[in-house]
Amino acid sequence: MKRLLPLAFGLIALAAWEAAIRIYQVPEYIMPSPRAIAQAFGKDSGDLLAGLLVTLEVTVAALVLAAFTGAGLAFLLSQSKLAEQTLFPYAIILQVTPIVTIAPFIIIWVSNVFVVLLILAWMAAIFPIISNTLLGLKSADPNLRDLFRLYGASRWQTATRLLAPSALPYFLGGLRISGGLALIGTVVAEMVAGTSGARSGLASRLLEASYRLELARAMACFALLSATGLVLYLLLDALSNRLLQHWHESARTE
Amino acid sequence: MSTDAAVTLSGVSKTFPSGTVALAPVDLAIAPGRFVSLVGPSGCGKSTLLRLIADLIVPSSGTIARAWTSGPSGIGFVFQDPTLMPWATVADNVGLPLRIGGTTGDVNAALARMGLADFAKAYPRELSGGMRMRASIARAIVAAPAMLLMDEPFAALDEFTRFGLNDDLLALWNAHRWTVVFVTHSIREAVFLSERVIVMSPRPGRIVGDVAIQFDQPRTAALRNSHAFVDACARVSGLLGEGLAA
Ligand SMILES: Nc1ncnc2c1ncn2[C@@H]1O[C@H](COP(=O)(O)OP(=O)(O)OP(=O)(O)O)[C@@H](O)[C@H]1O
Ligand SMILES: [Mg+2]
Repeated sequence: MKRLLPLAFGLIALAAWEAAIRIYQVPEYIMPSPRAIAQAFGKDSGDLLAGLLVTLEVTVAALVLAAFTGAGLAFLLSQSKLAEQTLFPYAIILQVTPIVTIAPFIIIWVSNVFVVLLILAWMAAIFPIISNTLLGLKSADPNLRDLFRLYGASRWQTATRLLAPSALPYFLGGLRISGGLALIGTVVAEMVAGTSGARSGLASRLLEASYRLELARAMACFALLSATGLVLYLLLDALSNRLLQHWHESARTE
Repeated sequence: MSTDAAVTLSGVSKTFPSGTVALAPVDLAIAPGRFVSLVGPSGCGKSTLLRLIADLIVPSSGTIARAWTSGPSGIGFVFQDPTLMPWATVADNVGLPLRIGGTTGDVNAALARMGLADFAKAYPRELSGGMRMRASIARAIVAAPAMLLMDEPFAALDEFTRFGLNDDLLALWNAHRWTVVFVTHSIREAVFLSERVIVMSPRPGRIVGDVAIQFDQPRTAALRNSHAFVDACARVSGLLGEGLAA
């Protein structure tokens, strides 16, 4: 029921949209109907899915990179108050700077388009991972910390057996947010970098189609990107529940 | 003060950075193999004293001489809360000291002693409060530490379970004769378990009484109803009252 409700709402909205377009006879270059969008997708599905694959490659690569570098940086910052005080403000600056404004420079400095997109998407995705993981590392139970100290645990033992598991739920929370951000970052980067041709991603195809007033095709791209974001979120959510199922409140089954 | 004590505190006091004087200067020596209880009103510095002995915090003044080596075979600590790792099974929690210290010990035996043999693979959240506390005790004893510090381990339990665990703990101690420093709010528990009860005054904590309890070992449940037992409890209670009035 909980899953059917939003689905039913979506179907009703689509039906209303379809009806409105037919009743008022809106031309397709202004507003395509859901049926026209579906047809546009059906016609070039191979082409559009190829574009999606390119976008996905960048998104996933950026997310994985952000996960590792973000967690690593958070760990380094957690090891020294001085490092945190010195460097964390720059992580914030990275976060609040709109990546579009950095894109022109990256495009000049880096010739490989994939790398340009990767850098920009990585920049968009990394902050929630750094800040969440850092929070998690700092929230480790002080009594457990004492216990590790009492038993003479090495830095490595404390990091792997205490700090990493303590930070895991926070890290995964960050990852869920970053999944969406990596996709947004990739899309924005594609639009700014203006990639074209067979190796261009879905966002560049969306832009091209809109220039040519092929709105049905553009909206098919848009729908595909939205669905991708949703699937990405659901996958990360499932990963989080899987990893935390035995012990964390967020993954309680009943 | 004897030099072969398990731990010797000389003029040890603790003032926290917040300005709270948790412990007035304390002199205390505990002989090896003894079971010593610490009683006193809430907030008088019992936990602080235990953490000082464990070297988890440093004294503001005075010195502490310890006879045990650092690491799991030297010291075991049962905190006021179970303090288990929620992400690890009971067996992994109990085995933690062994894995950290690279020492050997029998996790299953420790679990069995605490009546948790069937819960080795359970996660802490699947246990009751009392079972979590028992897991915490199993962890503290698994490496057979020379010094066992226990901070109100049974405070959250009902009296029946508590008596049961008291008997278990005493049997364990009789078998191994570790040095135990045991903090409790319960005078009866202190008298039943210990050879010596240290009574503390309200904050800032001072030692206002040091009562030797000379009942034969092994002690049995029947002891709790004897006149001598009730008398000993009255003595400790009287000292606590004097400390409160002073
Ligand atoms: N980390 C700390 N920072 C500041 N003050 C502290 C700290 N730890 C304890 N105190 C203070 O020291 C005093 C003694 O605390 P302690 O925990 O030792 O009491 P206690 O005798 O164990 O009490 P209880 O029986 O309620 O557990 C209290 O007034 C407490 O507020
Ligand atoms: Mg306490």
